[in-house]
Amino acid sequence: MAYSSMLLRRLGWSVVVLLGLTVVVFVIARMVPGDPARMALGPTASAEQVNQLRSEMGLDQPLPVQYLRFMGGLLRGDLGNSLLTRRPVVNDLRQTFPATLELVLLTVLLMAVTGVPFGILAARNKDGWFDNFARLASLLGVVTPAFFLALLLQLLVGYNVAGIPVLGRLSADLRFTADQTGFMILDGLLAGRMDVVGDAFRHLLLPTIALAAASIGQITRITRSSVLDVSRKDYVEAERAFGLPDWVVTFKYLLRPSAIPTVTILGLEFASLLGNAFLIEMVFSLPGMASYGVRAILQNDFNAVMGTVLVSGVFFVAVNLVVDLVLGFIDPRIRLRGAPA
Amino acid sequence: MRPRNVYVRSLALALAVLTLFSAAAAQNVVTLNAVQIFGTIDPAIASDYTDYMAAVNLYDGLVSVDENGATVPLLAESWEISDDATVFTFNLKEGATFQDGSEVLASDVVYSVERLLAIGQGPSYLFQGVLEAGSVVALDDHTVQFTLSQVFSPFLSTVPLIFVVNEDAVRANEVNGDWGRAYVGDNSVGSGPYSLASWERGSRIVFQRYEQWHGGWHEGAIDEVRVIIANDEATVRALAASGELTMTSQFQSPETYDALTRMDRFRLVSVPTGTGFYYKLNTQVAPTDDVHVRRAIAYATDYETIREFIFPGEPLAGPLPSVFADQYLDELELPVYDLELAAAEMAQSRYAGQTNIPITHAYVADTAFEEDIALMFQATMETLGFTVTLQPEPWNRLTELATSVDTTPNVTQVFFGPTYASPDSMFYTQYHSDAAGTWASMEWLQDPEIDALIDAARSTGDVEEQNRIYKEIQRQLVDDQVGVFLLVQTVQHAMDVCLDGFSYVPVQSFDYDFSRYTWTCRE
Repeated sequence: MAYSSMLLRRLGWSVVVLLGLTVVVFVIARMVPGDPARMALGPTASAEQVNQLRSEMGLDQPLPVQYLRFMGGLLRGDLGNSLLTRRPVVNDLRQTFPATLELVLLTVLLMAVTGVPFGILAARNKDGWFDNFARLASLLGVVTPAFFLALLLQLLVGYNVAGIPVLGRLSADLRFTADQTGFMILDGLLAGRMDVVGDAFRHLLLPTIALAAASIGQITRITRSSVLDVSRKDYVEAERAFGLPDWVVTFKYLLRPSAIPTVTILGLEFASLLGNAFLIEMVFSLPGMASYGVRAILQNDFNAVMGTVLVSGVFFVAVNLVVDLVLGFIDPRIRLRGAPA
Repeated sequence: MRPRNVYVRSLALALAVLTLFSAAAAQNVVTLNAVQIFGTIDPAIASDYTDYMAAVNLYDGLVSVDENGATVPLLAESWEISDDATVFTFNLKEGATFQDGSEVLASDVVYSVERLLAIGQGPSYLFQGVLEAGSVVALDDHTVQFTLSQVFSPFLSTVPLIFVVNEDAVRANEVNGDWGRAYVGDNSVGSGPYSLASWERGSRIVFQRYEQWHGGWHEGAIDEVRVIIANDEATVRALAASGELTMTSQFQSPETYDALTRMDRFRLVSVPTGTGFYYKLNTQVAPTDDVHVRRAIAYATDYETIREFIFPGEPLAGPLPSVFADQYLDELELPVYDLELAAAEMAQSRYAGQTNIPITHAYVADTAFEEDIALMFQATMETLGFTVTLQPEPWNRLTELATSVDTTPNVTQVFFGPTYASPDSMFYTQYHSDAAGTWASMEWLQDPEIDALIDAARSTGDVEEQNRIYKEIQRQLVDDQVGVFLLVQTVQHAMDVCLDGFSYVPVQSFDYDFSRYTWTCRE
């Protein structure tokens, strides 16, 4: 009961946070210099045209009126029109969000299937060659900026490796639109187009590696540290003394309590990747929400900025709630106490 | 390029297994990168170079422009102009079809103009005060007549920017009287040489050849055009190395051009344009409100060093590049770098003998060559007694500063080129008082004489008189040193050695009409 109350309280506060976020971003976006209507119409547009567009977009209204108008539209599911694409922001986000989410999901998957086993192996091989290698690799991953790695991979692959695309979501030869879910791999599967699935996966290879590298390092280090910590506990010592096989001790008794910091970090990384993916999207020309948001900011496209921030905010809140649920599942004490350990 | 070692080959093989099917590729495919996204493919809303690139390939106008700036037939095979230059009658070519197979009729032209004027964006600003609703009528299925509200001599040069849309297709998809904006923003409803094959907004757009295009296809014509959004230099190089890229954008760094031309597959195509690179001098605020100070700045500018080492270009003698051959004032002398003459001008100014004269110099932030030019300006001007404040600003900040005379810097580095094939597009937007308040008109000239000359050139149908007026405008602007004329921009592309056909056209993005290109290699 306490746990569900805790989750409900978190949900309530999240709504307040999101509302506050809309106000802050609304104000900041309008402080950025530049006339968005003029920028959208180009330098040769007449003053009448600029004023007409400003009026159409409600930009000539007082700020509180503009904000209320935006919030009114939001409640109706209308985020207004983008000045850059000249179409509803909702339509833009419907296309761009899945592209970013697909990249992020693959990245998190790579982080989990690489970082966690590496961390466990490193802990089990403490001070051995694998542990030293894993720690060095983790450090390199953490200190190497994602965009630098992205460019490096792109250049190395572009010059040396055939068959791995360096740009985009899908080869131009494949006439396919991900119009079911927006996820290229999933829509390819649903359409029975294995060529699309394979091609989309190959296109995501380099961006995923570039985006995941730093986080893999972090996950490896956290997991290693957590496993070492738990393995020093008395009950683990006792299990070994009782002669339980090593794999049973590791996977049945040690992994679950070690997972809490890892899951927490995975969740935080997952949530932040949505926004941090923009540099990767720009380098690999992926039509995702992150790069869409950056362009919106540079073009003073207020509606698109608000829409992007809102989606990111909701996503962040949702992921954190899921993390709390998972933690509650992993550690019953959290469920019983109604708060994270 | 082949993988170098066993591991990499195995990896490539494994990846190849993931590809179970490969569609047959088009024969002649051009892949180029653009440094900004396509905001829209609706020709009535186009406002920048990528929007117009889409428009010129997906749509046709009544006429087009060739590389000499001359008006050439397109959907119209001929036209007549009334003696008073207010009535233009175009005779449409028979048998021209839209990409859905329906014939292009005069009613489509009428609808396209009405739509352009009603939406009031994109190129519609060119027709304000010139065309009114109802002033374009279809005399019959293949004859359309434009009646202008006033004489506007550059009118024919603006007609290429009226792109004809399929009235039936648009009307069928109108929503709440939106003139089909939602539909046309996502779909191609034109008669142009290419149709929209696919569009991943923010990533890539693909145009596919329309086989029944009325203009016909030559041997080696381009079957497919893929425009990839990639503005990072490393990405462009990687694309080129992987064999995907055929042509770069014109905005790459010299190092990238160098790297690509060292690959045997590419050559550097370098062509002078009609775009000038200027110091825009604010003529209304001190100290650049003093003509002697402006002349001193002109004399203190090292033009050759800029062109040779910082940014490639051709010499520029005045506000109008020589691509407008008939209107260009040949007697203009090229500006010279002479610090003695600069000092002599300062001695005649009201700042003679003074030091620490404050002056601001703005440029687009994070643009390396503009920063180099600004630093050179600072070093030179400080020898003349100025204290230079450099103002690197993001582009949107510069456009905002330009809206007021008091916030406009003394000196701003700006590129400006023609949006239609007439000197009017250079003079009106930059120097007419009615066009003040934009980044293109940071001189704040406000000169009634210049206004009168520009208006006079617009209102006469006599070509010789127009040319005389344009030359007089140049003379006065140079005498008054309203700006420093740094260079004519040379556009550069790294192009595949098999690709031919790029030549500068003095209308935005008309040089990216891929129906004019040819793939010269035969497999």
